[in-house]
Amino acid sequence: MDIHFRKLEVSDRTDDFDCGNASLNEYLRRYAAKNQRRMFGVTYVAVGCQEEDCRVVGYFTLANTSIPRQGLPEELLKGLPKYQGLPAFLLGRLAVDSRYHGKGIGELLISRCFEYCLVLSKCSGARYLIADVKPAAVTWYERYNFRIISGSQNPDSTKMFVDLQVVRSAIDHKVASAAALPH
Amino acid sequence: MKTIKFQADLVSSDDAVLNALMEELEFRNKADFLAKALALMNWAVKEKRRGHRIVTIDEDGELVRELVTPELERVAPEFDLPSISTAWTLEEVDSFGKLASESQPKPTPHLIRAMNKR
Repeated sequence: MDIHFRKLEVSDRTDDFDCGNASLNEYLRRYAAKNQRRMFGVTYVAVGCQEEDCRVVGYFTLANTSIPRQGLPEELLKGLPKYQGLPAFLLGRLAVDSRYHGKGIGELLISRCFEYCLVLSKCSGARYLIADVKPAAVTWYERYNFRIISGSQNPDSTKMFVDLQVVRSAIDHKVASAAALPH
Repeated sequence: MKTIKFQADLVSSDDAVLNALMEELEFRNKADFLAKALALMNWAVKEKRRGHRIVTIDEDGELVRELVTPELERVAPEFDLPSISTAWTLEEVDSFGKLASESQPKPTPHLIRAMNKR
């Protein structure tokens, strides 16, 4: 199966997307294209094609956001412009269709997401990628250097973040020891 | 015209695509193919620099697909990622501040693999 990455298009086949989580399915099927049109988030999709049959097998949604400045330690803010918040990227959602689990598509999606953030950070100067993560997925995100931000009042969602400088430092590292890892 | 020798290693699947394209497009040799591919990429970069989008359009004039790659986004003068405000508790801000002030963690093996899987 060939996998292509691109922005979600209205014509994309999303009706039978099923990642096992109703709200993530619903978002892609009903709201992703609408929100993209209204500029409330851009959804990137992994499209799997077998001959003429193409379908969305995974997606992630990105937006800009900010981290409140008030309450952050002085050493972190030192030398930074006095905006009300630190600019950051928000990974709103990331999901893979259950029929394609275990094939490394989640890792392809997160690597694409990181690449986009690194490119876009040159334009906006954002250094952190924030994600609101379902409890069951926390361990998966931790594999990719996301760290848990404690203090959430929402039991269904954990804030996590990754420093894009760490992501950048991962490029060109030796991959031999990582090649055999499970997805 | 002075020419420069160019050598490249391709994975076998890319080589198969290259050969199929050369046959379909009736290129006589790989140098001609590379020259045309280069011209196409150069055109795409120029269009992105001008802030244009690269799309395919069907016979009814409907947009079918937009070409988006990290490489081309790099030369775009701006990007259209919207801004979303998220709620933070004081505890979350405090937790983030502490973690972000620590020395940078080393990239995990999974992250290294993900970022080198091109």
